[in-house]
Amino acid sequence: MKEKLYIIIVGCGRLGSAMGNHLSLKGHSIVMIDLKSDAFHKLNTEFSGFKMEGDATEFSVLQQAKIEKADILMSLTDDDNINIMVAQIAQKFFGIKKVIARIVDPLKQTIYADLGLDTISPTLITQDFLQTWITKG
Amino acid sequence: MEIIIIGDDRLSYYLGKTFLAKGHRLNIINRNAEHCSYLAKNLKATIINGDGSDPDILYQAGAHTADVIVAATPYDQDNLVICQLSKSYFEIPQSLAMVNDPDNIVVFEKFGFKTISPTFIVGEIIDQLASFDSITHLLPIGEGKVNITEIKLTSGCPILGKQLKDINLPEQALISCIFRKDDALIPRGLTTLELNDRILVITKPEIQSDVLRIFSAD
Repeated sequence: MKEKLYIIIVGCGRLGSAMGNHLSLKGHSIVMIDLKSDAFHKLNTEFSGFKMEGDATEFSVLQQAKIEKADILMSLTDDDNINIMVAQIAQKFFGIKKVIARIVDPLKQTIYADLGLDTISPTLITQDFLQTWITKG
Repeated sequence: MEIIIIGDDRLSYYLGKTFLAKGHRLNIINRNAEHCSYLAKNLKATIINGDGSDPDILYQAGAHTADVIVAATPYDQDNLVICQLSKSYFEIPQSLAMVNDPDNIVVFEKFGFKTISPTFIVGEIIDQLASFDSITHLLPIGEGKVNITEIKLTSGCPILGKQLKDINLPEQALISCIFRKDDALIPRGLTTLELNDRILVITKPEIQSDVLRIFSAD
């Protein structure tokens, strides 16, 4: 893997901003995209990437973010369907190899994982953790 | 046939009425509880209140047995997910998506879904009406691959008095009908075009502007 990666993060909520702060500090080039510019307040002062206000389901917004150069795209908004759409556009239209969609609904997560999309479900991760935690006694 | 409609309030009502009139069985999913009770009172259909992109709600609406699904919410991401769940998970044979942002049409087509984009259609019509006064009606059909245009021939129009065979029309265009006074004529090569004729032209969209130029009086 390259030392310095070009990473697009869609959704600057609690998860997105935390990932943005972390990866920027690691020296990667980050572009954060969110519908509302207010959301970027969650990024700390050391964040050195770009902030783009816009709807990532629009082609022109992704093109402005220079998606064709991206090594990674993570779609982490709180809307499953936006994440699914953005991740698939990145994968199928721009050929981005490493793409992930955050999907809260576990059933939808399973369906899209079967369709060949990398997904992360906060619900399933929490469930796994709790199940392990309970058996720890 | 069994049809599921997921859509915004007015659209699902009018679409629903049309499908019911044709004798289809109908299930409607709508997010708005108030509108659901209105639909339930006014349509002989099963109404489900909820998020139509939720697989559980789709199942409740009979997605596992439906023949056709129409995804017509105001959000393209929801319509895309509805179509994908319908095809891959519920295996509904036919799905139609309303695409709000015309730029997204290519996305839906890439995933193999039929689309209709009201924004695109209305935009095209307004654009054409604004630029050519003599054009009174425009209709894109076949997923926008063909346009039907009605053009009124006004004075100054360069092809008045000419026979059809002498008009240099591009290959991808056809004058299919002439409305003259109260009559409709199916034209042949020897038919002559007259003032105030309204002609119905079928064209491919890419040459439409060339065709319009032939008939416009400028």
